Amino acid sequence: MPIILQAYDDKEFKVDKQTAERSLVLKSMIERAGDSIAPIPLPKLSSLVLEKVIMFCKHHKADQVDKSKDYEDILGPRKMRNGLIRDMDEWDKEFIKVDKDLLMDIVMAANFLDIKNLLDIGCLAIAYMLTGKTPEEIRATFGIPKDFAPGEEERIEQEHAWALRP
Amino acid sequence: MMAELLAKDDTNTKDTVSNEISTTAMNENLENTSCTPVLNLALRTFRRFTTSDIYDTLPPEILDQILQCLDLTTQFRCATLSKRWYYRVIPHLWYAPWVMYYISWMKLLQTISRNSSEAGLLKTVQSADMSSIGSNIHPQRQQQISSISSERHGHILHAAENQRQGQAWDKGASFNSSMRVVLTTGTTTGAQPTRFVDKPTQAFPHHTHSQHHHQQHPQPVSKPFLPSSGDVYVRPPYGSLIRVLDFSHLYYIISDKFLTNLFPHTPNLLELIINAPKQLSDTSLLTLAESCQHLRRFELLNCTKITDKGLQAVLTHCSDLHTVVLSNGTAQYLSGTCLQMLAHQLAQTLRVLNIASTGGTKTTSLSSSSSTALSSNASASPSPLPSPKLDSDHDNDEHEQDNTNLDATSTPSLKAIALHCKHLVSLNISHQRHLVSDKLLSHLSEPLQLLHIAYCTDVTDRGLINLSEACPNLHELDITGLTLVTDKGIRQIGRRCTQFRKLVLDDKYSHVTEIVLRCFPWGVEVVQHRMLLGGRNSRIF
Repeated sequence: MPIILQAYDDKEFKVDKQTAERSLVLKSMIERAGDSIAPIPLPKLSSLVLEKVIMFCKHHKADQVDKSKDYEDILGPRKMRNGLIRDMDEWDKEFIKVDKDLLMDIVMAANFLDIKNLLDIGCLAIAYMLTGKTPEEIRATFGIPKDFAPGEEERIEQEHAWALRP
Repeated sequence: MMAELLAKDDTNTKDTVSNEISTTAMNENLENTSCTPVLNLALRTFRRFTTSDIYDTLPPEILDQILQCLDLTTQFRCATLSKRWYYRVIPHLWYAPWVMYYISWMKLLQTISRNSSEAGLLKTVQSADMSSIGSNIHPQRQQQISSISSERHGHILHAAENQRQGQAWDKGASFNSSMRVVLTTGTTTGAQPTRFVDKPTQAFPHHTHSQHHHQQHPQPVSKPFLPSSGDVYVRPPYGSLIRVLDFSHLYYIISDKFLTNLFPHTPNLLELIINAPKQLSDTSLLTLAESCQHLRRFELLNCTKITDKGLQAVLTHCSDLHTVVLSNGTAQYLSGTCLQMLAHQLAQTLRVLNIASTGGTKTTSLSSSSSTALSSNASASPSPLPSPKLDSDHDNDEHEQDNTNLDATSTPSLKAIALHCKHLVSLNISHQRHLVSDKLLSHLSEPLQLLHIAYCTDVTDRGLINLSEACPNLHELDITGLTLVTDKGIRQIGRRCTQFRKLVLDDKYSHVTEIVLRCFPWGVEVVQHRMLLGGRNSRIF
């Protein structure tokens, strides 16, 4: 039985159950509603964003949830605390090649709908956007005002001299 | 309307960066109250064109996730963007400062100790340092001393009590929660008396940012550490932001002097990994036990000078430990009493224990998935590991040494671990031949997933049958060098342990045949140590 999702501009999307259940929020809604489920309104999502999200869920709908994740934290290989944790696969890379504002909206939607994979990929994509830019470039891209008092910036630089590559 | 909203938003307006914050707050408020799609759309567009700082767009927990993904250089650049970014980034920047090879650790240590010394900490800690070893000076006492001495410098020290970090599993969720805040007095606060605060509940109710200390705050991470007003200059206590110290590739800087100077500055340390240090004795461990009581992961490899005294101090003070690795000769001079103490102290928390006595098993002990990759590669090319042949020769030498110490009280000590530590997930007791018997394996408990009993030659089929009954969740088993084990024991494992995935054995002396692998219809990876070729061979059945 298809599930109908409504974006805030009243555009409706029909998805199958398996796709919708990638989102933990929708999954619990579907479980509670049983067979007779009404269209689900998602007033926080525009149709453009919802389309992208559904596209992602469709592609990943057959992914297995690994049961042995419980102890991954302590049994798995130590993660590098600093540094890009993992690479994305090719499809995800293509999928997430969108402009900055849409990317932000996708990340917010993933957070709202509780789709962990999509959130991870979105965060990685934003991390990639920040990597390799000078502070001025980042400020220009994201419109961040510089509000340091005189001397503060030098102090920060001095205190973190250890972190800079020689 | 705007004025109303600003007035409502009373806490934020006090902050120095009130402009951006109140704009966001306004946007959020409006978005929440409005229901009509058209207005919503208009607001989104408005938001997009007015502010595009992602600090405002994204919720703090997502921002933290992004910052975690960044490399050190980019994290540093983000710290220099603006004040808010700086306070958001520093916990990440300082989380595990030593993981990169190019880190200048001298500069790092200087920064940590200078910031602490400005709070009057360094002097007292260093003088108390040597005297406190052995004589149990309570850390609170040390803080009191430091706050008294800081009075002279006109500093105010709020010491939020370092609380127990709740459950041992919420890593990183407590970044800003138990931070010590050191305020260097500006002109306005100079008249305030110095006070030492025992409990965070009493901590300066009139101070706007004292709320950040509360552990009970629902989302400690979501509140960044912000200065309360412009003229009070906040100097972050960088040392207390350090959570992970991984010295596994930096053996040449580790000495008692270095560590006894470092540990007092890192009260919130969670993980410590040391491999093959230049010099490491009980003195460092005593300082560690005094200073870093939230430690959860404790790995000492090749630390041959450690004795009971140091380890017992760590076990007494650090009751949150979930991973204890004392392998590659670290456990050499430890007695059975020490293991018994470990079993009693960490009965509820211990998840991973590794007291294997030699190298070679290190890769298989903790990082299961990386060793899987390694072993599958090894079938094609010669393994980069030292050849097992060499290892085993080396082992035999060490065996004799081990036994002298551990043997006397040994069998009951491991039994104590098996009986008390009911949450153990991974256990590596390779090469501890005299500690491991068939009966011991029956005492192990249900959560166990990984077991390494290589070269524990007293184990027979009976032992594996006991094991299969005790641990139905077993995933991985290393039975290299167990000459008494035959198909019978493995078959029983196949019958009971339905999630079994990986078996490590050697092909020369093993009496296990390929036929028995039919007991695992779901497929199991077999890693075979090839004694003669010096490589490893792995096959998937």
